Order: sequence, then structure tokens, then C-alpha cells
Amino acid sequence: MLVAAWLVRALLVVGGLGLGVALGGCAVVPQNRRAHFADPMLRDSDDALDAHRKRKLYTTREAAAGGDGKRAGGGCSCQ
Amino acid sequence: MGAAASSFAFASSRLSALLTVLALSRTGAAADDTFEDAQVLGERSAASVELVQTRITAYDQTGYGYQSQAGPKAGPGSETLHVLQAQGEFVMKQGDNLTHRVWVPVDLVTSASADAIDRYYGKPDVVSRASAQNLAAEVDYQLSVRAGPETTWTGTAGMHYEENFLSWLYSLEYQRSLADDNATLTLSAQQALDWFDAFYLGGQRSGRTSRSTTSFNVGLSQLLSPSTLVAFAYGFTLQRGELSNTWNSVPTVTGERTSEVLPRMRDRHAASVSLLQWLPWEAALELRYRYYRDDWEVTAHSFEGRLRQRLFGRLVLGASYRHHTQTGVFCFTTRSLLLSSYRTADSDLGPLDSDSFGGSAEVTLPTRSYGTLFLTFGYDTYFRTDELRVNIATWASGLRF
Repeated sequence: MLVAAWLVRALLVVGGLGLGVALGGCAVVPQNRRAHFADPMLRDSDDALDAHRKRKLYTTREAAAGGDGKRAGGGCSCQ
Repeated sequence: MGAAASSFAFASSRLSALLTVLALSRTGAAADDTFEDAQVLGERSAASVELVQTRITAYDQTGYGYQSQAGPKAGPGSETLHVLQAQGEFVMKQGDNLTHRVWVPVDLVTSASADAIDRYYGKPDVVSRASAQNLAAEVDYQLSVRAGPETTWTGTAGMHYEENFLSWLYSLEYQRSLADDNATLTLSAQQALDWFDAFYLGGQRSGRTSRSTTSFNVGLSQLLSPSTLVAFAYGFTLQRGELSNTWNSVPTVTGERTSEVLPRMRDRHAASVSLLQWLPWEAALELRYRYYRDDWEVTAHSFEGRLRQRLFGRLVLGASYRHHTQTGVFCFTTRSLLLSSYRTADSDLGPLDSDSFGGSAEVTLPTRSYGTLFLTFGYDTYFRTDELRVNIATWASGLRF
């Protein structure tokens, strides 16, 4: 039963990855029209140290860590 | 003899001339057909520092939870603690393809429970030394390798230390640009191995135990317009081993306290979508929704919004809001039956809603020869429906080159 659940989850992950690769992204914005994305204000990820202190606040006081490209739990006795 | 010598001398000079011509032609061929190392491997520029920064964050928490013994026997006990967190980051680029990053966070924590170690105190105590201090430190080294114009591999290794706790951390990430850099696919895996002391409820050490946390993450970001970006992410985490910190307690129906007991396996899923929008008045808006579910019956939803506004060219003001709601784990209780196989009274694992408001200000000042100096100050307040409250002040400074 446990193995079957694992297989289903693995298939879901692999399927999701395949879908992402198959979509291959859409080229809608040419290089010379991306000036705003060079602005640090519009970066799609926080400053790493600021992100760490926020993650620490939420993951150690709530039961729902994960999904942000980092490990969800572990590595600290407060989790 | 003289004629023979003359003939030999003539033949020698002819041979010498022929060798010279061959050598010259070979030299010419070398100039045309071979390449220097730099032509093959790329110009090897000197290492350059990209970023140096430090950040200090202070957390001031008040509240009560039934897992804490710092209060009436039937609970709840105090969850008051203070944390002073210092972080340092150093990023260096080596040539065009290598980026090194060293990150060192250090947490100085006052806590009711982590110092309940009989090694240091005559009387083991999980109850009364709420102001005892605990020092936690970590060192992470990260190496990013640009393997091609569209592909980057990043590996990280780290180690975390607390007085009764050691962790080893590893991760590997693959990032690929798609569709002329309009989209980015990121795949990553993380592994944490924790090795720590286990305690009886009275604070005596019962031995060593361990926990393994393995995470797999996938993310896809896509430009929708010259001012809009959308990103999706999914993470799957498997935890195995001792998932309690072993010193949490649970009040019982008889008015006593017993140990927290949690399952030794936990599978967690989290998915999020975020939108990043440039606004025409020199501002940026970020909206994010996150869904979480695990096999301990926790379901959670988180909404987050952040607005940043540039003023006078050098000042960026930010405001943020986050709302989180979660159901409790299946074995959460504040009055446990002693016969229960699994039980916890940890307020973090109970049903709750939380809200947080934040504000920040960042000033950037270009220097003549040391890059751009930046100074940031931020303040957040976080409060939950179970009365736990945290005030956070943070300030950072550094140089971007």
C-alpha cells in the first residue's frame, strides 16, 4: 500500500516535470523589452537573508512548511 | 676528399634549408589550426566579489502553549522567548561560469526547553529556566556552475550546530532557461540529516536519536508581458525518524503531564502560485497563494501581498501583509488520554489563523570604487488566533558590486 502511494506520487511529480518541459515556456517578451526585470525591486525572489528570516518565522510557528524550493523541516531543533 | 667534403657541406646546407622551410611551414600551420587554452575554455578573468552583506534580526515572542511546562501543570505554559539572529553572506564570481556563496547564520535564543540538559545543570529542567540561552550556528557553502548558456547547476553543503543537535545539509539544483529566457524551469532536491539528544519529560537525557528530511521541488516561472511574471512551485517532503523535539509535554485528563508522541513518518505537499507586477509609478506588486497538505491531516492556505515603492531614486519603501490558516494535526489535544498512541499539545501544530504586517525601507548609495552600499531596515508584527505574538525588527547592510 505504501509502495503504491509512493509510486502514484512519483508519477505525479514526473508527470508534472514532463508537462513543464513539454510546455517549454512561451516566448512572449523579447530581450529588449525586459528592462523592468533588471530592477532589483522586481526580482522574483527575496534577498536570501531576508527570505531566511521570514522562512524561519513561519516554518517554526506553523505546521505547513515547504513548496518554496527549500527543505520543509529538519536542520534545526525547532522544527 | 675535398670534393666529397664540399659535396657533404652542400647537402647539409640543402637539408638544413629544407628543415628550416618545414619548420617555418609547421609554425604557420600551428598559427592557423591550433587554439590557445583561453580560446577553448573562455577567458579566465580574475575572481570578483559580487556581494557582501550582514543582517541582524531580533524576534520578541510572547504567548502561551499547552506543550510548555513553564506554567500551571494543566497548562498552558509560557512561550516567551527572544531570538537575536546574525547572518553573513559572501558571494564571489570566478570567471564567467562559477559562483561561490558562503552563508553563516547564528541564532542566540532564549528558550524554556532547549537548555534542559543535565550536562550543564545540576537539576534537569524543562520547566523553570525560561531565560536560559541556546546558541545555534550554521555554515553553508554553495557553488553554482553555469554549464551552458541556458543551464546552471547549483550544489550546497552545510552543517548546523546547536548544543544538543547536529545537522548535515545537502542540496542539488538544476535550472534551465526556456523560450529565449522567457521561462525558467528549476528542479531541486534537498537532504537534511539531524542527529540529536532525546530527553525524558523531566529533562534527563535518554540517548541519541535522528531524523531525515528529504525534499523535492519543481518551479516554473514565465514572463507574461514586459511588466508581469508568474511563477508556479511544488514541493514534496518526506520526513522519517524522531519528529518530536522530545521535550514537549502534553497535559492529561488526570491533570498530569506526559510526553509528546508523534508518528515517525510525515509526507508533506505544498504548491504555490505567485504574480509579480511592475507598476508604472516606479512600484512593484507581488501576490502569492500557497496550498499545503500532509498526511498528518494538516491543510493550510496562505495569502501574501507585498508592495514596494521607489522614491527619490534611492529610497525603496515596502509594505507587506500575509494571512495563514491551518487545520491542526490529527493528534492535537490539550487534554490527552494516557492511552493515546499519538499526542501533541504543541501550539504550532494546532488549528490556527495568523496574520502578519510588515514595513521596510532600503537606501542605496553608489560609491566611487566599492560598488553600491545598501542599508535596509524592516519591522514585522505576527500574531495568531491562539494569542501568540512576535515582533520582529531587522536591519541589513552591505555592498553590491
